[in-house]
Formats: sequence, C-alpha cells, structure tokens
Amino acid sequence: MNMRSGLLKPLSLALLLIVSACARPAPPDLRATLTRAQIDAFEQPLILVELPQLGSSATLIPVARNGDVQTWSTADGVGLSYERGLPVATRGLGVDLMGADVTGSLAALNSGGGTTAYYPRFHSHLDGAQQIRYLSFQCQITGRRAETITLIGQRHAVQRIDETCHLPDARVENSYWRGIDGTLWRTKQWLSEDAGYLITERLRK
Amino acid sequence: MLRRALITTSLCCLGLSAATGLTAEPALTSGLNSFGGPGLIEMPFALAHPDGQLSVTSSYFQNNLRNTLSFQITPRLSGSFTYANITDITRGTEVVELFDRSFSLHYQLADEGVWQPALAFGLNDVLGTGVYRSEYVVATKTLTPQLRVTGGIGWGRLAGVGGFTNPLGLIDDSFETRDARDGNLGGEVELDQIFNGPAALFGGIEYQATDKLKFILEYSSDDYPYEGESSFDYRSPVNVGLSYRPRPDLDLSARYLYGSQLGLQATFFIDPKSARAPSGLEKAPPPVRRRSAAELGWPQDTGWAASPAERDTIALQAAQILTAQGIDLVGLVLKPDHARVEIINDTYLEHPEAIGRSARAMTRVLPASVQQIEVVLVVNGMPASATTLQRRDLEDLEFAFDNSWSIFARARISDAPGPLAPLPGSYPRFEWDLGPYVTPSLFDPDAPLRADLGVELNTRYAPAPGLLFRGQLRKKLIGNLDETTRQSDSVLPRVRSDYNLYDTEADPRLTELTGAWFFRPGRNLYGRVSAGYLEQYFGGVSAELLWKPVTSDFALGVEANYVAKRDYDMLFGFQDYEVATGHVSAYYEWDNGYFGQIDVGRYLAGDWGTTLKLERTFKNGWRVGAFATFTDVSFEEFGEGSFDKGITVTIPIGQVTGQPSRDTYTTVLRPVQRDGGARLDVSDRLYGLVHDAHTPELQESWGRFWR
Repeated sequence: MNMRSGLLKPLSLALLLIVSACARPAPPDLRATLTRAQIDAFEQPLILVELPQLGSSATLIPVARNGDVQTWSTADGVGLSYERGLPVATRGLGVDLMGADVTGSLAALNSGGGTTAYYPRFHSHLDGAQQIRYLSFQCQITGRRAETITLIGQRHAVQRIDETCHLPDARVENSYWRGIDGTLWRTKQWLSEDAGYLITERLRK
Repeated sequence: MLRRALITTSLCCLGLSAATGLTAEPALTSGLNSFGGPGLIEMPFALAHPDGQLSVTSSYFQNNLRNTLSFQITPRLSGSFTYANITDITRGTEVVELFDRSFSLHYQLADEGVWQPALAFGLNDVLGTGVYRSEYVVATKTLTPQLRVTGGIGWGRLAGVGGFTNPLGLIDDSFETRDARDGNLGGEVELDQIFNGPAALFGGIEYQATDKLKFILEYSSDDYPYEGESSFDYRSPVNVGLSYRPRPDLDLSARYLYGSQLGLQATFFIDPKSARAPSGLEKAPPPVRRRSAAELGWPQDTGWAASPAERDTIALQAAQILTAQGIDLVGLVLKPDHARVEIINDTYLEHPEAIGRSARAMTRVLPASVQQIEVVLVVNGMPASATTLQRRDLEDLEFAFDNSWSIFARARISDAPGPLAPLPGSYPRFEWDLGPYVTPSLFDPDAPLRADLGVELNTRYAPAPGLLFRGQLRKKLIGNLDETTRQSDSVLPRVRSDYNLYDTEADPRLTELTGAWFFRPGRNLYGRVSAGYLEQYFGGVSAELLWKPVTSDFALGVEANYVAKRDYDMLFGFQDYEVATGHVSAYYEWDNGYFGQIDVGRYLAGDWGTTLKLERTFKNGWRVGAFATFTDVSFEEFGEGSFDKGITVTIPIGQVTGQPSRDTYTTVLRPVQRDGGARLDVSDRLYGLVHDAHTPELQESWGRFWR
C-alpha cells in the first residue's frame, strides 16, 4: 500500500538514488558518479533529470501510471510525471509545473517529419500569490537530424528533433533525441521562467 | 537532494532573472524618503509603490533616527507608520529627547501620461502629536528613461522655507491661517488645520546612472523648526543623495543634508505576493490510482461493504496513507459507492491541498465501486465544510493543464452540519510543544524597545470531538519588561494599562488554561463555550455563536463573556474586578482582497463602543490591516493617543520557508496600550477557525488542489 515502497530497496540502490548534486555554481556532474554496471544491476527503469537553472539533478524510478502518464520519484520524494516522455507535472521543485497539454508536441514528434505547421502547447504553474498561471506556447518543429548519443556508457542511434516554442515575450528551444522504436532517450524541455529547462535521460528502460 | 538544493538555489535564480530583466537602459527605481514614504530624500514625490508592497525603513542623521513601516494599501493609497527618536529637540523653552510616533498617508491622484505628470497628495503625521505634521500636493514627471523631476507645494512643516500666503486663500480666507495645535493627546485628526496656513514650494531631480545607482538632488521646504538649532546645524535647504540597490529587495542610501549632515538610510522591501518557492517544497502527493477497465465492469463488486473485516482494513490503510501526508483521518463512512472522509488538516496552509491529497490518497485504498469521495474538513471537532468529488474526475484530470479549474468546476462544496463518524482510536488527541517566546514592548517613552525572552509549554488535549482543553505556561529566561517603572495614570478600570505589574510579578506565568466545547447548533451555525483562565489578564466564561453559510462572504457573530481580572502573579487567583463584556460582530470578505470586521458591544473597562477593522488579505495568507476602537470613554479619559488603534501584520510561515505549515505569525503594532476599548483576548474565536474552510477562500487557493 505504501506507494513508495519501491524506494525501500537494498542500501546500494538507495545510495544510487540519493546521489544528487546540490552545489552551485558548477554542480558536480551526476553522470560522472554513475556507471553502466551500477545501472545494469538496478533491476528497474531509471531516469536521470537535470535542472540547470536550479542547479539540481537526480535519478528517479517509476512509482505510478495513470493512462499515458508515468510518474517518477526521487529518493527524497520529488515527483515528475511524463506523458509518453514529455513532462506534464512536477511536484516538489518549489517552482512546479502543475499541469500541461503536450498533445500537439506529441503528434508532431510522431508525425515522421516534413511538417512545419504550428501547434499549441500549454503549461500551468503557481505564482507567489498561489494562483494558477497559464503559459500558452505556439510551437513548430524546426529541425530533424541523425545523431548518436551516449548515456552513461550506452550508445543510442537517434533522431534529434528540435522544437521551437514561442511565448508572447520569449522563445524557447526544446529538443528530443528519439530512438528508432520511438523511445525518447533524451529530452530537453523548457518548463517555466522560474524552473528553466528540464533535461531528462532514460538510463534504463 | 533535489528539493534541498532548491532552497538555496531558488534565491539565486530570482536574483538572476531579475537582473536579466533589466537590459541596456537603466530603469528609474522607485524610492522612499527618510520618513519611509514614497519620495526623494526628505521630500515626497507623486509616485506609488508596487501594489501591496511592504517596506521597512531605517534612516539616521545626527540626533534624528526614524524607523518606518510602510504599506501600499491599494494601488494608489499608501500608509506609513514612523517611530522617531529625536535627541535635543526644542519643545517650547526646553531641549528634550523625544520618541515620536506618526502616521502618514499618501494618495496618488493620477498616473503619469505622455504629457501629464503623476499627481499625488499626502497628509503627514495625521494622528500623532504633531512634530511632523504637514500636507502636500506634488507632481512628478519622467523626462527621459533616466531622468525624473518632481515639484510640489507643502503646508504646515513643509512650508518652512520660502513660505508664502496660502493660494487656497482664494477659495476661503480661513485657509490663510494655521492655528497652533490644540495640544491634544494624539490621535485626533484636527481636520480644520489641514492645508491651512502659509505654503511653500519644494522639488527635486532623480538621475538613474546605472541599474543599481541613482543620484538625487532636492530642495527641501522643511526648515526643521524644532530641531534646526538644538539638534543639528541647519544651514541650507539643498540635499544631495545617492540610492544604491544591490538587490531588488534592498535599498541603501547616503545623503548630505541641509548643508551640514551626513545621513544614511536602509530600506528592505517585502512583496507579499511573491514567494521563494511558490509551489512549496513538500513532497509529491500520492498519485491517483486509475481503476482498470475490468474493475469498472458490471456488476460492481460491493461485497466488501458488508464485511466488517474489509471495512476495517480499508480504514487502517486510509489512516496510514493520510498520516504519511500529514493529514489526520478522524472519521470514515463507507458505502458501496460513496466514501466520506473526515480529516484534520494541521499541515497545509491552504485547505485545498489537504483536500486534494486526501482524495488522491483515497483512490489508492478504496474499492473500485466507490464513485464519490467526500472530504470533510474538521476544525476543533466541528465539521466545517464537505467537498464531494467524482472519482472518475480525479482519474481523468490529474495531469490536465487546467486541472485545478476543471476539478473545482466539478467539485461540490457544501455545509456539513451533520454529526461526525469518529473512527475508534482517533480520540483522545493530545499535542504539546515546548518552544521559545519573545514578547517585545515597543514605544515605551522611557525605553523604546524592551523585551522578555523565555520558554513556553503549549498543550492541547481533545478527549472527544468538540472538546478541547488548552494550557500555556511561560517561564522567562531573560528580559527587561519588569524594569518598567511607569505607573498607570489611567482613570478607567485598569484592565490593560497595569501590564507592568504583571510583567514584574508573574514568573512563571500561566497565560492560558481553558476548557472549551465546540459544536454545530444547526445549518450555517457554529458554537463555542469556553471557561477558565481565558487570557493573560482575565479569566471566566465565554460563549460565542457564529452564522456563516459555507458559500457566503458575510458572517455574523455574537459573543458574551463574564470575566474577572487575574492576580498579578498570573497563576490561579483573581482580583476584585469583574465585568460582563461582549460583542455583536459582522465580518465581510470582499472579492478584491479586503476584509472588514465591525464589533459593537461592551469592552473590558465597561465602556460601550465599536471596533472597526480593515485588512488587505493576500490569497497566499499574508494580511496587513489596521483597527480603531471608539467607545463612550472621552479622549481625555482615555489618555495618551485618545482612542485605541493599531496595525496588524500576519505572515504565513510556510510562505517564507517554502515548507508546508499552517503556522502564521501575527504582530500587532499598537502605539500605546490604554484601558479604553480593550477587548477580551480569548482563543479559538469561531470566524478565524472556519472561514478558510469555506467556499470563497477554498476557491482562492484552489490552485493548490493538485499540489
């Protein structure tokens, strides 16, 4: 019944999960402290996330699924939820993404290319007065190219897809590194002005 | 870890984003003059501060210290409360040290336009004893993005340099003369003097050199009539200064004043509408468990509802998962398609977060046949409201981008006057904490800041729903409140003004020991009966009835007390003074963030009258307000200050730390504590208990439902 009983695994795993980087201005790279052997020994899916603007990174394991949305958790109870690989909620960052509509981005990612049509994307977050604020983006796929990336010793042949999203007063660049089977091995997506970019790497499927 | 890192880093990020917001051209910063009001160096200007901004200012030049709390009450109106310490001021023929309290208002009449300057007027020291009394009308125009000019006309003290006949004399001759003050005890506005007497011109220029640095030149029309010889050497009306803003919330100023003095000033700005971690640093909520297609098939399995063992298991699991969220499950009603969850939220400032977490947690333990989840907020044993949610909505909306609004539209919030269904084992409840306390005493003319510091033990014991015993014991460790030698000169029954006798004799002190019963007499009604040592100075019995419909912005209450004055040792004995006191109260919460309260009745000294209270309420829990009490005690009988009044500031602790907390810190700034208009200070008044569990305030903070 404890929804996070998955975290109460042997100590070595706890250690793996707890690893995170706090210091500023140059956070030590969490990736440098992880090895592929450790990840392979870890018998469940694992992602690594990094929020450069907040100077934080952590590894997360899956804790719940609701339809297409997978929720992941850090060892200290911060939750991140992804709809088929795109973030739709964060909980516990202090500057959380409260909800999102990423159906346009998902459709564009899966369309196979060729289109440059604009589509909407929506994020919501809380402001200092505890009111929900909405961000309404107009987005467009601006690039696709083949790349090879290495995530902690594991190489992936991917298609890199770049997405440009416009806000009334700003422009942000999201990127997706997509495997042949559609797996998003790496993404870099902008959440909000306060949270900045969220980088997510799939260390273990 | 991810969260902890954010505590330290989010601040840096705020600083960064603020810095990047300011690009090539330095933008003119706002400003506060040495009196803490919107202005240049000593003079006012016609601008307003950002709505809702609080600023704390300390300014000093030789023998003149001013500390000000200033608040932008509305987008156009600001108020400043200044506590000044002037050494060697000339009063009549004597040279004395003066501690002076003053209150000033500044109102912006017009915003700046393309050609039109911003326009404002102000009343300085409207209520005090009048050292700083003056009025002004002022205009300010931005000429280039870096240059701003101000010019104005002042009366009273601001007509000291180059004064001329009041132009308002054209309207009426009586404007041309300004009588000496009536010599009142403070507190009186003396409207007949405002804008009267000679007038003079003042003005200044501000130049923003860089993002952080501003230069100011001003011509002051204040000639320091009482201080200008004895307190410092007044030589010239021209002041020059610079204002340096290293961070958006800090201003440091230095200036050369009146041809002879170096002055320094520091201002700290607080924006109640901002938060270090807006969405909080608490852990992620329990995820919703979506029922599978198989579970939703027909027929639904409802056999569990008839099995006591299964129901007990559900109750146990529910209690565990809610406890992990910091929420206490105190009652549970399980039906095949409906679950009523009765909770106590002592963790989250905003009840919607507790409701949202409870509902999500319950999706994880309730059998699939339960379609509706009803969350009842229990406050001091009283059901305060019930929020009914469709389980399917929780499943479908958990990650929708407009999930907060969507679930609010689908939720039903209603009154829940019915009896509770306590779970076995949820009572008795006992809580205690041991912590430090500080009781500052401001504004004593002999020593403007005194304080006691010690430890206090708080206990709360609830043997059954609605019954609550409270105790608070304090032991002083260090302090000087007992050094006050000033005897009360009050001609009224000394219900408050002999506080120094308590401060001297009561250690340790029993500040509260009460038993109270809370109940719901009917729909929209709440009741309380308390007895015991109700507050520091009085004990007795207190009864209250509140009418507050769950959807209403308006409430009415009535309270009756019979109390006796406690012994100075603040233990168990009473003195020979008993009084029946009580009030009829009306409460109103405006949609645009203001709260008003009117109390009419009899006060502790036996005086009859009315208390008016107006507060600016921010949706995140900050409150800034003022109150005033007028009773049948005359201003002369009342003594210094003429009537009871003060300023209150309430700060939600969680909003400052980012951690979830229902604790708030409230401070009351009362220029002087006398006996007239004094109200009993009983704990757990009903409006304060229930209002934030009702629809208007749930709606305001509903954005936290999914947090």
